[in-house]
Amino acid sequence: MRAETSSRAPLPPEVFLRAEGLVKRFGDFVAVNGVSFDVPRGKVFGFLGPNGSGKSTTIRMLAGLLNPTSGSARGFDGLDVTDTERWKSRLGYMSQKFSLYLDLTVEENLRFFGRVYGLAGPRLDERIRELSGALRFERLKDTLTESLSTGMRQRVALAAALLHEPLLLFLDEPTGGVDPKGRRLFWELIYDLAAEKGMTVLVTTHYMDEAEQCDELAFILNGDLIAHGEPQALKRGISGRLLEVDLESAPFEALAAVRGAAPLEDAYLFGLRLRVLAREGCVDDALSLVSRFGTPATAEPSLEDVFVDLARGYAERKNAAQPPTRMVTT
Amino acid sequence: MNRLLALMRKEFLQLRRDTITLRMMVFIPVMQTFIFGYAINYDVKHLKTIVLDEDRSFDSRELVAKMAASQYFDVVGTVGSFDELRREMDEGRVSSALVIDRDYGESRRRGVPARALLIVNASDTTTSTQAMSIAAGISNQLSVQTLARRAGWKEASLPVDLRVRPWYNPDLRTATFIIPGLIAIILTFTLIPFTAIAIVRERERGTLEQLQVTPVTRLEIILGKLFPFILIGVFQLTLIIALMVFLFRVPIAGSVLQLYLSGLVFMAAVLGLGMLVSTVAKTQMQAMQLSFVFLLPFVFLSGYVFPIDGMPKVFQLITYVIPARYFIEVIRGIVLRGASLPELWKPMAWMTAYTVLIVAAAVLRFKKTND
Repeated sequence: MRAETSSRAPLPPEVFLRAEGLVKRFGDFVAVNGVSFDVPRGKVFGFLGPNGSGKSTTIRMLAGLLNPTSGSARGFDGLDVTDTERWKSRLGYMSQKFSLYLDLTVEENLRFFGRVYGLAGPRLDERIRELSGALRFERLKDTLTESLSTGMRQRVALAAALLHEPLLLFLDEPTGGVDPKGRRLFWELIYDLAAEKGMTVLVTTHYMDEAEQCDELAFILNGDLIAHGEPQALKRGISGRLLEVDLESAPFEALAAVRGAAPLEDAYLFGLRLRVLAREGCVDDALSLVSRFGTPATAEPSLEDVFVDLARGYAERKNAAQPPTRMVTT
Repeated sequence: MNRLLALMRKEFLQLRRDTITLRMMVFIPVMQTFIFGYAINYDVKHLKTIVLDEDRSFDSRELVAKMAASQYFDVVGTVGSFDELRREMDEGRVSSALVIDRDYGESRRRGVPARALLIVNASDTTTSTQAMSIAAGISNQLSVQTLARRAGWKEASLPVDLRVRPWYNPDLRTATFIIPGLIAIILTFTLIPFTAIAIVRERERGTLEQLQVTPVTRLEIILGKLFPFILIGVFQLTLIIALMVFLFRVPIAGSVLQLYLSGLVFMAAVLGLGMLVSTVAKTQMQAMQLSFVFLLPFVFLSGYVFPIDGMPKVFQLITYVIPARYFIEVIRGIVLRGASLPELWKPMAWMTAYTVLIVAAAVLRFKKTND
């Protein structure tokens, strides 16, 4: 049990939501293993992790959909997640499934969700008009949701989540199955909302380009929070140095030649370029190893590099006997 | 309250678009009423019968005429030999055969037992039992007449006169017995699967989760979901009652209001069962299949078609946990005997107890789905 006194102290003004030691067990399986982090006010906070890492379970606990086995969540300037009705009335939630009623029209869906959040009369009409204009689906108001494209459904679902002007928006993999243009429009709107209305956004995503744009990021793996910080800081924190060589030909031979070499933490192909992560203190050895393929240069690590590196470090710490988990390779 | 209204309005909007379900709500009760009302008839008449008359006397022809006059046997032909008779029976062209012994007439005149034989196809027990009792009746009647004549009685009044008065269903119509109980069966058939599917569909689509992140409470979700089904149930109840009274001419001897009242209690039980199914089933398909688990016991172990008294002890015990058993007892009491709810307090109390139990279990299970 944590000390009640410390957790009851009011949150600092720059923190909008705080998760403290969140644990979720399903029988013997620990889905979320004591996760703590702060979501800054008015910022876009990205939550990353592979499928089954406990990412969605965490979001669902924070949204009041699941009761945590232990731990707590506080936010909205003085509310506790256990104060379910008030907590839920202040947040917006949109999941990857864009859960609308397919057999209702766009307007019927919006009216229904608006009323459920306590909106009515001219106020509701106005909000529907505003959002359908901003999200550009005005002319589709009387269309059955069933016949909308995935991208259009996503916009309507977002509108439904924003009707009651929530202070905090949860987005659980909101752009899955949406085309690039739709994704860009979506993110522009999210950033506008965060900047103009001071809305705080908590988003989970698979897309690294989306993660790059978040103000802050948290990585979760096997239910453990393994890193937390701004994207640039996370990139700086990568162990060793990332080197890059332009290859003329035979990329797979080059990769096979260096893979597993002692000074290298990792090696992979990036288009027609060979990228290697040199171990701390072995940079010179690594340079001489790869220079036979071309002139090596220091590369800016992507978030993917950071994630792979973090996952490897995590696996080594967790169980030296187990081979490191490779998350993503491109 | 506004949230609850919003939920109900949404259910009705969805229902309005779901024309197949809407049609089924009307079609299923009407179809079942017609099938059970017209097709089920325990009173088997006009059995196809052939005659092997080896006597060919006045008396043998009298016996055949008596059998035919009963309307239970239709004499469709005669055969000349037992082999021929067996062939007719084997090939299923007739379901009974009357064999009259060659000295039938002679025996009657001499006052020794005159022998005839009725063979019935007993692979259908209902039919054969009926044929046997009718044949026994004809045999008795003929014997009594003969004895009376021999004793010199002029009038055919008997020394013992045990008469049967069939109360509550004086014409012994099967429909009178079957249709009132059908109310329970139809409510079970439509409300359990429709409720279960309506809830599972929301979970499958993810809209239930979307609802659960809104300030809506579980109780509001449940009430919003069940209210339209209660209306549908009341509508179906009215439909069957109308068909029963106006088409099948089964009048309601008791109070219509009390009939509706007991119907509402039973509806709560089946809606609860539908909700229970929805907490177990993951897909709409599973919900449908699981609903069927309830349907068969509700039809066959509720006393609806087969009398509970005729069941083996184990099955009689099972009937006690089937709410339809009590509801059917109550409906038959009200419709046929004109009983009032206070007189029917025992089955009402049992039914109410089960309803409370089922609804409580359903609500608890529904709440637990988020842990």
